[in-house]
Amino acid sequence: MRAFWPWLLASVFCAGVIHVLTVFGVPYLATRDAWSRLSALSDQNQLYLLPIAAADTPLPFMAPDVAYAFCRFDLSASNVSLQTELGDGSWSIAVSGRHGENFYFISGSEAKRRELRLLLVPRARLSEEVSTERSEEGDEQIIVITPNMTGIAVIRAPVRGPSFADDTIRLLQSAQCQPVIEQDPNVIAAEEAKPELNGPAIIRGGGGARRPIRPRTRVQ
Amino acid sequence: MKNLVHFLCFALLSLALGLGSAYYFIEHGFALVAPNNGPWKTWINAGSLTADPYTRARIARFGDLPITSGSGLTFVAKTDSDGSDLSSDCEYEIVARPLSAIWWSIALYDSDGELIPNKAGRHAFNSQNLTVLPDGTQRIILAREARPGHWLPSGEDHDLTLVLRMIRPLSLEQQRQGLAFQSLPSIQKGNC
Repeated sequence: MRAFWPWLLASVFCAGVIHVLTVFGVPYLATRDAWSRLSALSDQNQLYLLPIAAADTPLPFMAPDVAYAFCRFDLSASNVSLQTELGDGSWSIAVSGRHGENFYFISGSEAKRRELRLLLVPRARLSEEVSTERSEEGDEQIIVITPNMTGIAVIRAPVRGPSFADDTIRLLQSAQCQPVIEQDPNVIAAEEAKPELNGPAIIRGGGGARRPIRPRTRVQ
Repeated sequence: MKNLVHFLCFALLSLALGLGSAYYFIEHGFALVAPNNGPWKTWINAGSLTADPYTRARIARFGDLPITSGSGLTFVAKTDSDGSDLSSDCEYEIVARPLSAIWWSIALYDSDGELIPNKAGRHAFNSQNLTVLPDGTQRIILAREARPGHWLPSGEDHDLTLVLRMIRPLSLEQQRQGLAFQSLPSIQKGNC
C-alpha cells in the first residue's frame, strides 16, 4: 500500500490537470452550442422567427411566452444592419458572440422609440469605417461594435397572452437583418459629381436599394 | 506487473476524478458561480464577457444564449422551498410579490427542459398577465387538474422544473449597491 502513495498523489495532480483542461476545452469542443444549433436551421445574415411555445425548440429552456427572432451574423464581408419595430418596453435585442458572450443589450423601455436600427461593425474594421461611414438614419441608428466577426443577434418579444401571439409575430415579421454593402468611395465621388445626383450621397442596402445618407452620431 | 497495476489504477483514478469533477461542476455549479436564492439557482456570470470558465463551459454544453445579469436574470428551481424535488405527483403554489423588473415570467418544464403538453396551452405566466391579489401577492398553482386562478398544468409522472426570467432585474440604484437578488417567489407544496 505504501508503494501506491506516490501514484495516488500523482493521480490527484493529474486529475486536477484533466479537470482544468476539460473545463477550458468544452467551449471549443462542444458541438451543440447555440451557434451550432442555430446553424442547422438558418443562413447567415438573415432573420429567422422561431415558433412560440413549440414542442421541439432549437435551444433549451426557451421561454414559451416570448417570440424569438435571431440572426447569425458574419461581418467579414460587410457590416450588418438589424432593424425592428418595438412592440412595447419589454421587447429587447441582445447581441452576443458565437460562444454566448453578450456584449450588447437594449430593451424597448430604454430605446424610448418605436423603431430601432442597429448597425453591427467589427472592432477590427472600426478605424476604417467610423470616420467615413454615413447612414440615412442619423440619430436613429445605433452603432454596435462587435469584438468578433461572427455572432448572434436575438430579438425577444414577450407575448402578453395567447390572444396577443399573432400580433406579436406580425410585428416581428417586419424585422430585418441584412448586410449593408457600402459603395466604393470612388464610385460615390463619381456619382456625386454627376449633375443629376447633386444631392445626398448613397449607399447600397442588402436588397440593393440606393439610399441617401447623412452623418450618424451614436456609437455604442 | 505490480507497477503496471499501479499505473492502471493511477490512470483510471485520474480520469475518473478529473472528468467526473469537471462534469459535476459544469452541471451543478457551486456557490461562487451559481448561487442559490431559496429554491432558485442562477448562473450569475452567464453571458458576461468575463464569465468564469465553468459558466462558459456550461453555456457551450447546453447551447444556452444568455444575456448578462445586469440585463436579465434566469433562475431555475428543481425543488420547492423546503428542498423536496418538484414532481407532477404534487400540487404547488408559487407566491410572488411583484418583482422589480421591466418584465418577468415563470415557466414550467419537465426535467429535460421540454414544455408539458396540455389542452389549455398553458406553459407560463408573466408580469403582464398575472393579477395582483388584494394582499399584494401574485399566485400561480401547479396541478394536474384545473384550478381557479392562475393555473399551470403539471401533467403526469415526471419531475418538474420552473424557470424564472427577469428582464432588467435591477434598478440603477440596486446595481450601484451590488444587490444581485431580490426576494424571489416561494414554492409551497400542497396536496400529493
